[in-house]
Amino acid sequence: MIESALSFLFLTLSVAAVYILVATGLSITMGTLDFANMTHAALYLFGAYIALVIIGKPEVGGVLESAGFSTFGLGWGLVPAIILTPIIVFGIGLVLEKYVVRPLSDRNVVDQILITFGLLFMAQELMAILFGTGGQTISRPGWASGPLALPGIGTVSRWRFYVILITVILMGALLLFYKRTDFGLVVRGATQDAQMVQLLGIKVNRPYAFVFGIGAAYAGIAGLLGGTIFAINHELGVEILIPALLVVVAGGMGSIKGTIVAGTLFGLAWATANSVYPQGMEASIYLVAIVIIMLWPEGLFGSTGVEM
Amino acid sequence: MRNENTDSSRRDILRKTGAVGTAGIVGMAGCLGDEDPDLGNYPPEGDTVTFGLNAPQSGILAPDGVVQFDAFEMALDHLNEGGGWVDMWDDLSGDGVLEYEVEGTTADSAGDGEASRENVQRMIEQDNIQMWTGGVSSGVAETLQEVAQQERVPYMVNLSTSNLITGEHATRYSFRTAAPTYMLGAGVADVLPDELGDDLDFYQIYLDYSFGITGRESMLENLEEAGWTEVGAQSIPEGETDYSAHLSSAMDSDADVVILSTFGDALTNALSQASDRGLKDEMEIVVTTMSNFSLEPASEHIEGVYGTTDWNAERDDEYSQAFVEEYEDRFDETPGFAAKLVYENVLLYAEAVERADTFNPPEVIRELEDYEYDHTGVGDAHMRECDHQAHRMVPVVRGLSEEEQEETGLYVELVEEAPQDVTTYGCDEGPAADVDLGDHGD
Amino acid sequence: MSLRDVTGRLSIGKPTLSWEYWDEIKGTESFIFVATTVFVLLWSWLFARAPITSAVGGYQSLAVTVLIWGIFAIGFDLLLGQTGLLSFGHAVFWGGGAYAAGLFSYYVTGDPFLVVIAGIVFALVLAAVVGYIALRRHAVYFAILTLAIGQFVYFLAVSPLQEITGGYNGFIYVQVEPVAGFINLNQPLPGVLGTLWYDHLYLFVAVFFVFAVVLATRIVKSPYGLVFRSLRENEQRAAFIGINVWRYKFMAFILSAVFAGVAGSLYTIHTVFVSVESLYWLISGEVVIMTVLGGLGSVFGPILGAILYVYVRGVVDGFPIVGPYWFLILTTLFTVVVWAFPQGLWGIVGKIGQSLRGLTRRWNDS
Repeated sequence: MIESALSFLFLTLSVAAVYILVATGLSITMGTLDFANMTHAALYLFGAYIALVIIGKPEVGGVLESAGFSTFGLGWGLVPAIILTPIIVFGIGLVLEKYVVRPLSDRNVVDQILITFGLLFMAQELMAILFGTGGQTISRPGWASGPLALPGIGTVSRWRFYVILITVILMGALLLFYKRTDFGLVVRGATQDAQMVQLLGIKVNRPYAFVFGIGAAYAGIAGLLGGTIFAINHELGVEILIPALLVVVAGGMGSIKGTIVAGTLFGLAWATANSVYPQGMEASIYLVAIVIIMLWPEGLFGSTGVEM
Repeated sequence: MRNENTDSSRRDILRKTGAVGTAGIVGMAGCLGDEDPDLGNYPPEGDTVTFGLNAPQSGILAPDGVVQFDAFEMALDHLNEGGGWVDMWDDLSGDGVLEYEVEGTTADSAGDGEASRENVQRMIEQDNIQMWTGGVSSGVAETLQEVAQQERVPYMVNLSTSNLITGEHATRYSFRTAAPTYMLGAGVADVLPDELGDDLDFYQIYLDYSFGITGRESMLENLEEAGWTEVGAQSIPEGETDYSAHLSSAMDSDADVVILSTFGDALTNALSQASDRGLKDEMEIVVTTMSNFSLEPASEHIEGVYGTTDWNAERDDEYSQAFVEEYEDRFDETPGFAAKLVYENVLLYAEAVERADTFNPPEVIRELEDYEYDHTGVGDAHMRECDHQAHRMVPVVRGLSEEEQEETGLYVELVEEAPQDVTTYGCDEGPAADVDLGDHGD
Repeated sequence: MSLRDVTGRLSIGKPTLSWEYWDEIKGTESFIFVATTVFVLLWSWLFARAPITSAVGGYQSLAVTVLIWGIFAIGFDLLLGQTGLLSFGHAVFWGGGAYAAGLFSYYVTGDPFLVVIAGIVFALVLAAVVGYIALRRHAVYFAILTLAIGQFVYFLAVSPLQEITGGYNGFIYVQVEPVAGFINLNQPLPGVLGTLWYDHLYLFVAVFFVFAVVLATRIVKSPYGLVFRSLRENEQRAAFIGINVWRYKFMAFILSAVFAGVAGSLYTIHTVFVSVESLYWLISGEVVIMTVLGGLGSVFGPILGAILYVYVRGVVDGFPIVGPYWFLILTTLFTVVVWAFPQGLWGIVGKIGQSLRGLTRRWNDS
């Protein structure tokens, strides 16, 4: 009984982990920076492909193949990728912030959604052209693959266990950052009232860009983690966007705690549907999202700013 | 149930009026006289005919799609210039088909029903194709069969294995040379009990649509007949990539064998998640259809996995070897069965045209019906009249280790071929019992 | 509404070929009715059979598809263009209408008009439910909520309801019978009529298309349209002056869903098939792209968008070399237009027209 409950929890968390990591950056952008950024999902997509070429030497299709590459990659392995992928995507995030988010920040929200959606599709098609449209998989080294016997749970996927662990560490670090650093204070303040913070003589542009970059880096590492669990293809970004948006809205825009709780609830709905009514697995998370948004208009944890 | 009013007669008028339209709208009433039994895109205009390929270049099926474009190009070249099977088959000349030069038109099905219908409609209306082929998912193939019947353009179904294609949804204008899951099930049931043991328990995980559902039913029926017992089964929605919960249930069931009726990225995910869970140490894995597009990305996880293919490049009959040689010469890689099916379907149709001595669809169809042949690299085969399904052997195969894959260029090795007389079934049995083909149109 | 109105105006006495006269008539319902009728009468021939377009042109069934998507986009513009509400869930009404039409044709009757009515009724009911839920939220929330509801319905149709919908295989038993028992839609038209319109199906769809354009124009010009636009400009102010904001939004939502339902039903009649992908959110995305790309807030913008989108998807994708990039072409164009020219292609056309007018005026003056 306890064993099955624990393995149920494990299942829930393993589904929730990737959702939460992607949704975090999205939640910060939408809640704190007040910008509806669908391109966020492209950062997840980039993360997956960057990890792919750092870790192994995958056979590629598309333009790369036509250009003479039968394989395209560095083959450095998993650990360098875990370090480098978020750093690179952080950089991409800064570029995105400067050239897309800031110029569009005074446009209305519908325009923001449409333009960033268009950019996401463009990113997706570019990946398809570069790498081809066939699926890719990342092979993991021995320490990150195979089963792991957990006391009280049974055998689980070793890598899934690490993924949950990495997610917990990253989310904990983010909460601490917000709570304990001056930077976090400024960002929180700016979320509440950007004008007031500016009046106090604090430049908000820099913290904004930095916060955006952090969100991007989290999406990048999520791309790596998702890409090492599931097959990689160019439609990955669009596929993760919809559940990620729902996590953000259900949790409350800008609330990190809300993102964690909503992501976990989605995982729970998924795992429950799986054991009770497998046909409804896909539909379950949408139902949960609809109900939450109906009952809590601002999401579970409000949207008045980044909360603890 | 089938909508029998055809679009084809309209299209003839369309083409004629189109041609006249170039000269001006006036004075075209005279063009509508019936001089011959026009049907579909018959008769072809000019001295070329066009064949179509609707196959995935994007979407989850893409890895098997790209090779189909290569094989299609090769088939057309051989028809026009000779080479490969065209030189080996008596009825084909290597100088076009009925002295028409053959041109190709292709479209990306994207693994999507809407896109496929639009593509095929374009190829029929704009490119005036005489036939088309191409591998698409089973559900899409089933809807395209209807289009073939309505538009009176023959469709050689490729790669799709759902029973319904040559069962409930079979049409007069569509044929399939690939084995349906019902035959695959019979093949597995014939070979695996000898290989793995009698009285085993099995657990099934299957995609919740036609391909998976009929795959599961076929395995169930055939394997229980062979003395195995299904101890559980769970469907997974199309599009879901996370198999972890299903794999847990399979492991909890204490079954000896887990059978996966899924494909593409979903199968890749299932296999890699299965090896992550150490499932292979506890039970055998069987995959209903092992196609390259599923196996290539999953290559590190397929060692020892059992399954069926439609055809394997290591088969050593003269036709298989000739095809492999031609394909390797041209594209520098070992062909999988997706490529071979396209090649074989184009040539079988062309051969039937030559035998019928006309592109007129009903006569070509009659040539293909009740046709017995042995020149497509699958041994003796019989394209039956009652269900438009080729009845032939089924190869049961086992996945190779990565080193072996590198050595051989193949993903699987042959365990045993289940012969035609084991895999076949009566016209009143299995899927064939539900067939209602519709008319020839003449 | 009739030709006589237009010709009547012609005799008012102003010079018939002047910008002033053009400005006066171009917005009138009569003119729009006549223009749209002329357009549909020529469209199928121009698109599929005219000698000038044969090299890069479309084909008959795609000409019909364009009109159907045009109806969908016109309706979508009533919501997004007029009230400013961005729905990402309109696939529900297109697909819902398509399914209702298909099921009705099989279980009740295949008379095309009744089939469309069945589609409309179902889309209406769905819209009332979805609108009731989603319109309680604003802006981003509304967009995401409609998206969630759309995907929920899609996944319901894929798996749990596959006994009814055919699941991933779609519904293949659609029965289309002759209109009123004797006009077979697939019956080719003879002679010149065949060259122009090809068959009855085209005329059947064309009638709905003209009606959709005229109805949309009337709505936009009615007091309703005025209120819709005031909601887009400033919802709070509209509420202050006593407008029941929710009610008008609900009306706009239902109206646009009805257009989508008509389009979905027509698409079922056109393809004699319903795919479950008709409920997938990409359909919602496609109508957004068409409408916005073409130009919001005008009846002709969305039609232009539908023509361009369906043409690129259905014809350009078969071109050598650029074919595989058709979606990249569309999304790039879309992104650039929204970013730099928010009034869309129709707006650009209008601007070009104005500058041309400026040129001619200057030329006349000098």
